[in-house]
Amino acid sequence: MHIPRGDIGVSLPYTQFGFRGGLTARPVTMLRDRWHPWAIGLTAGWVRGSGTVGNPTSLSPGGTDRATAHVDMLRIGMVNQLWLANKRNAFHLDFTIGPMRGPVTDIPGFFWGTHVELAAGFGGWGALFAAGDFRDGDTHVTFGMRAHALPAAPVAALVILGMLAGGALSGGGM
Amino acid sequence: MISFGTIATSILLLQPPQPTQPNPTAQPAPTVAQPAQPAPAAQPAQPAAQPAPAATPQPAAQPAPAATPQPMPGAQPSAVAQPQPGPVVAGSPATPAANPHPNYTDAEMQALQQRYNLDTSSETPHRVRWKCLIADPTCGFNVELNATSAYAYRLRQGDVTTGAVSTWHSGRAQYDVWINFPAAVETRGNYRFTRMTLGPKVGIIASDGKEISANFGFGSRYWFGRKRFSPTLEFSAALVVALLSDRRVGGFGPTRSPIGVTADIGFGIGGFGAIVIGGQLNPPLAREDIPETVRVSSSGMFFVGFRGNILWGAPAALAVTTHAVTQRSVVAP
Repeated sequence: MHIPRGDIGVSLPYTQFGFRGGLTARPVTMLRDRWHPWAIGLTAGWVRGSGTVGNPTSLSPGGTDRATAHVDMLRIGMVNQLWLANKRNAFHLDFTIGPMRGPVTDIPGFFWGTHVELAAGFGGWGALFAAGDFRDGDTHVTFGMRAHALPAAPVAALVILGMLAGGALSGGGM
Repeated sequence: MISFGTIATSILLLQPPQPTQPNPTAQPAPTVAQPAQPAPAAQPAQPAAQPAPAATPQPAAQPAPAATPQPMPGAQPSAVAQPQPGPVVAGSPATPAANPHPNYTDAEMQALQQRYNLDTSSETPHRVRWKCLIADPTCGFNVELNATSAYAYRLRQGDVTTGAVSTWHSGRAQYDVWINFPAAVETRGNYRFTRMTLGPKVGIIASDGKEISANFGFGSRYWFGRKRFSPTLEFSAALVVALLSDRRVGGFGPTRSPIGVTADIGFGIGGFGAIVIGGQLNPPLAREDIPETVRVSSSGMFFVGFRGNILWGAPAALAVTTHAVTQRSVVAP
């Protein structure tokens, strides 16, 4: 969901796709030479989502022309992982918090905010997540699923191959 | 596969005490002949005066475990037919070389198996290939990557004042990662086969208009047999959100979308491929407080196609071809 402040935008369903990567380490496991469920790390990600619609009664009385083409957001986060078992493909809970940059509806500029995410993962292969991106006057709340690059890459490659063969990427846009 | 362990255990439990002569060749049971155990103080320290089990002459049919023909897990019927070392019991109805149950006739064994509903098949599971990346009844847990190519009959709501509906013929390509957990299993002898799987799936759907949607939900597969190419019945349902499309304003790019649903039923051959029939519904976004350019009409599709594992090639090639042909030849109204 895209939930801007009422006087500057319109709440709308929001969809996004993105990429995220990072590193994690297990300090207690490394220092005491025994397994410990806690891991900490740093992640960085980029997402592109559906555009915003400004409130026609606020900054400029444009009405229909105030819809943006898309929303880009950059996120940096500190991730804390709690592994629920000492297994390679165990379930784990990830809590990520950090700064992010993104737009505030259609107001020109790129604004700082806070990114928070709670995810339930499966051995690092994939996760269900609930996330929020909070700026002054604008909020994006997302619920979704992500997969590790290994299982996701064949799907992405086939989709891109089909779009290239069909000429879908030659028309510009994005 | 005969449940050897179960049968042998049943024999031991059901064997009545037989006042036969002590078998000179039979070894005493380990639990009986344990000289290291201190004898009860009230009993004289005589070998013949062991605790109760030893006081009764050990029946010939209750030898030490090593003397009982109990095939190990995974033993083959051919191994059973081989001569088994064991005690020779006087008056046995069959020789141990030809019969692994020397104290019973074949008719008695059949009666025993029928009475306790024991599996008498001698099925040996096939070796799984591709490390369970293609679903198989011998796999407990598996992950698979499926590609679907389908014909789609698409519909979109038009002018609500006239009840107009736009319909057109199109195609649908879909790529999903299925994570299958065993939901129901069948034990045959010493082997366990998966009968039904259920698990999450996530993937991408593509159609005309440069549409790319994400879907995540659940997939399930029921196996009608235990062979690699056994027929299957598949069912999947998922939430759908559009990610990219050729928008009316702004060209190709991220599109906003209410959450839709899709579901399908598949009739398959093993984990290799299935004929799928399904539908999809995308609800509208038609509030009056948003501009006309960003409103979304109700839409949906019915589709019939083929879904298969990409590892053997044809499903992936078909899906990419369907995707490309749909982009080039279909013009949505």
